Amino acid sequence: MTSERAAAEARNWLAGTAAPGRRWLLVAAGSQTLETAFTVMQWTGLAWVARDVLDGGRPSWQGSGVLLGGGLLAAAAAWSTARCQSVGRQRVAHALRRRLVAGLLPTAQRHAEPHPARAALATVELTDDIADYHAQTLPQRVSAPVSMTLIFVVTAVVQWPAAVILLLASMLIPLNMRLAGLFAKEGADARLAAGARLAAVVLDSFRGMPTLRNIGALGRRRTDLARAADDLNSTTIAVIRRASLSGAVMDVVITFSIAANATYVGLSLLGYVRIGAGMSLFRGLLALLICPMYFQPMRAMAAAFHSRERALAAVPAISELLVGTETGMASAERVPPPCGPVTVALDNVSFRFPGSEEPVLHGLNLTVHQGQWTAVAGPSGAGKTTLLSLIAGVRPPSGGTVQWLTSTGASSPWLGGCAWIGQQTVLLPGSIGDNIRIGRPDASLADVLHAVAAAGLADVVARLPRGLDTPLGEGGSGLSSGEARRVAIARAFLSDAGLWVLDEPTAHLDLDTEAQLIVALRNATDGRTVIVATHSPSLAHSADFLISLDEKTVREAIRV
Amino acid sequence: MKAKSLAATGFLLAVLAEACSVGILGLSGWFVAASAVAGASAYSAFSYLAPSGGVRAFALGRISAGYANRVVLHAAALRRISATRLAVYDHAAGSEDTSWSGQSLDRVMADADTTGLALIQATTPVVVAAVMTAGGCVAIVLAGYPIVALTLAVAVVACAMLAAAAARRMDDTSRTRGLLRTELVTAIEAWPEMASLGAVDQLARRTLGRLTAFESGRNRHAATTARAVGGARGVTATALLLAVVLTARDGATIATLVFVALLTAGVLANAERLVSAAGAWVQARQADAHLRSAGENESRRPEIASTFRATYDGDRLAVAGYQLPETPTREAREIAFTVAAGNALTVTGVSGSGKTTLLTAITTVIRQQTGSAVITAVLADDYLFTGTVADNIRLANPAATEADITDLLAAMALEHIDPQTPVGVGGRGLSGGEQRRLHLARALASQPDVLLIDEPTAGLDTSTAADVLAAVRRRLPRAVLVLAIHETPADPNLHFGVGARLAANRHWLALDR
Repeated sequence: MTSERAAAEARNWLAGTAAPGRRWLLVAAGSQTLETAFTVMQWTGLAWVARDVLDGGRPSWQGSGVLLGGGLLAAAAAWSTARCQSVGRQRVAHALRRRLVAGLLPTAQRHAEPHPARAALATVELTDDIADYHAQTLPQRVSAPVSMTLIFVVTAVVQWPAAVILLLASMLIPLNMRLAGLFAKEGADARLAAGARLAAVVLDSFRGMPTLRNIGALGRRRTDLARAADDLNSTTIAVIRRASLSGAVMDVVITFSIAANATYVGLSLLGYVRIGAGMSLFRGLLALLICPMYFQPMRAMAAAFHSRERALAAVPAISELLVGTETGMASAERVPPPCGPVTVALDNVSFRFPGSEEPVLHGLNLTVHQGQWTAVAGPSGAGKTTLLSLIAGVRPPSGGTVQWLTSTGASSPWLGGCAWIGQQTVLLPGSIGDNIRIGRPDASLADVLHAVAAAGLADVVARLPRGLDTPLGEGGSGLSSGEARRVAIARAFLSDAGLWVLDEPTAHLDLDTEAQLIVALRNATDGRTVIVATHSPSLAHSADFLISLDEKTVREAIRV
Repeated sequence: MKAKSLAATGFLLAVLAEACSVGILGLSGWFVAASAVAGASAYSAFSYLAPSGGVRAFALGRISAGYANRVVLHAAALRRISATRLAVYDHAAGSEDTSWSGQSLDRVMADADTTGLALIQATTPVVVAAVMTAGGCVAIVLAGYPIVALTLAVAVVACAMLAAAAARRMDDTSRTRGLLRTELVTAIEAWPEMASLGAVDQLARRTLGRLTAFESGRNRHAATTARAVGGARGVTATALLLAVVLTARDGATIATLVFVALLTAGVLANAERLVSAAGAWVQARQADAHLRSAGENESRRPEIASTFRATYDGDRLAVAGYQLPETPTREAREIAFTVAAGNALTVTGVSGSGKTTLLTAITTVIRQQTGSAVITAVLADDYLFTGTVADNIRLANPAATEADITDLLAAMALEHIDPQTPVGVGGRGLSGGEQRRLHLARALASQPDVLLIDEPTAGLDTSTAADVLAAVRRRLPRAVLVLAIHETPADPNLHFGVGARLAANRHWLALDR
């Protein structure tokens, strides 16, 4: 029951994402209908030319003109359909990506910790699956009934008994749909079970691959995998056999309509049958030609099934990233850092990510002494970055308190009140000076030069052709990663925070660069409170205190 | 039937179905036109029986071949999807150190689907269009209008060229996508730094800018495809007019004229489908490229140092040259030890000190050596596979009988668990301690010569842990045991009382200091 509700929610959510591109997609639907109309015109031209020839002459200019004109206009309509579909597609994708970027890079606090690779996959790849689905199906859904009505009306005007044949055939369609539904349902459960089994086996096999290797069962598992795949294939084929049967019934309807139409027209022309208006080659041929077009939209709609499946599969991954990010998006004004040195006090702090049962940190007590370097060591996944994020005010703790103590009093942390340097330095487009001024755009040249000197960037800036105004290339090219890291130090220095929070600031650097960077960091943070998470022995050894984080809490704190 | 011949049969049936479909319209048109002529003349000998018989034959052919080709082509596509999946499995099994997330797996499976369905969406339309064009041209030449056949052929070639040109411009976006993903990962990781500087707006603007540029690129490709679609439709419209006019100029009867026109229109409809087929073909090629690079972006274990040697010669496990890296709390050093058969080594260290890495390195290196030694490792993140308890044990030893399994479970103090109990997804149907003991039971089933156990006491109380480890030794009296435990117990007998019973000569190796 709950899974049904989840599925319904996913469908609703998916439908909601179409809104930004709806207008273009509706234009595409209009173009699609026009294409049908112009194709009818093209066939009218063909029937016209045939009449000309029957009357013993050459194809008339008018007839040829309608034949060519209809075809070319239909070509233009086809182009316009594809074009509008693509613009609508882009609108849908862009709106979704805008929401994702706003959620992943919020201006306010970040409550969840998005898995970067997963978030990137959802933003770059899965968003397209949803946009593709809307671009493909929405115009079709709107234009199909209009196109079918149009052809029916034209047939009725040209030759009403032929329209009666179409009507009879369409009456078979709901029956056929019912039949298809029944057929599909019958096999669907077995197929769903086999599909779920294969998915489980596949997931198990890849997740448990190290285990399979350890117990020497890689080959045996392969056999299981092949067998599960074969099971799914045979049930799928059974379903396809049934589903194709309904396609075959559809084929029977279409061929029957064509054959019945042809027979009726031929016999009328031969004078054996006399129903309806006077029969002529023109009328008969036209009714025959547009008959297959009547059924085309329905076949196209059946073909869109695969893209719908893909889009629905993408929904949970994307909506999960948006949960909770679209509320409280108030863009907080940046509050400047507190004056003077800061001591950080953590009292019985615990932290649990929303939706997870296991706490990351538990019962943690810690004091980060003012004006000192405190290094946090511990295995990957021990919660170093989470601890840092609580100290920096990225998010509030689930339990206990984190406080910044200054000479003027105690306050809860806020992200703009400290300097944070991470593993990756992002340089924005602009000059090296612009990048240093990011936190304080109004900083004086003297202040910037001071920061440059403090970060040990003076030599680098002197080397650049236009000094501080040298524009940086794409992604900060022109600077080494060590130099980029110094830019990060300079801009943190310029923001004049009393507390620096460093998350593996020397990751991905070679030993020499690391040693130089540690000197620069110690220089720039003279007299400030620094907490740094690291795996690097040399960075840990240059700290005043070393904390080991293990089993969700501080294991030992030693004075280095 | 082999996958290739299955696909070939599918193609043949698809061509047959399409030929019937074009034939039914062409013949009906011819019949209608002929009837018009005959109806106009007073005493005509025109019989409607032969053409209506032909229409019936075509109708039957279209329905049956249409049905058969759908089923056969799907079967071939599914066969191909399975083969692709297994190839990815083999690829993953062949590379030692890749771990997979659920999401990347979903992607791989979707890519496998795309390459399989390309058989239906890309290859079939191309084959059908080619055969239909050849057949249509021959029929028109036989009817006596070679110029019209030439026009038709030229139009189809023009459509094919438009489709190919559009497809070629739809260059592989997988590289762009890869760069974008890296970019996003960096931005997400740099968020706290930018937020502390109050520059999140700028970061978000830049990220969105990159995404917008990517979308514009896709939109340009789509515009190219739209032009190809419109262009192909324009070409076919012109070709149809030319075919009609040229046939009429050569003095064709009305029946022949209608027949040629409808045949041409039918063949040209297939040519129009080449544009989407080319798109599907490019997509399949991209999916193929993803599949070939699958797993490359996944997390990897650290490389094993070249000085590292591990051997097992039936009498002893010898390890030398293992480089223990420096950490904030410990110096780097080299590790070497030997453990004789029947003895045990206990490795201690806090989490993150490298116990699991050491165990994995030994296992990997010994397994790579050709020899009959069976080495099995029980790691903390071992996996239980969906199925029953017995299924999991048989994975290690398919020859295990019901009695063997009951025995093993009893030895692991799991006698209360029926071998037919399902373990649930990832073993979640069992408690942590039960999972742990089932891992051990499974490892024992393969009768290893060297058994490495990571955290054997985790999730077990002291006395159960002691019983279980004693049972391990009882069942494997000659095996080399390597046990990794979290910390050196203050009193080994209190915490790890089984130590004495494991072997007379047991060794300790501490990774902490």
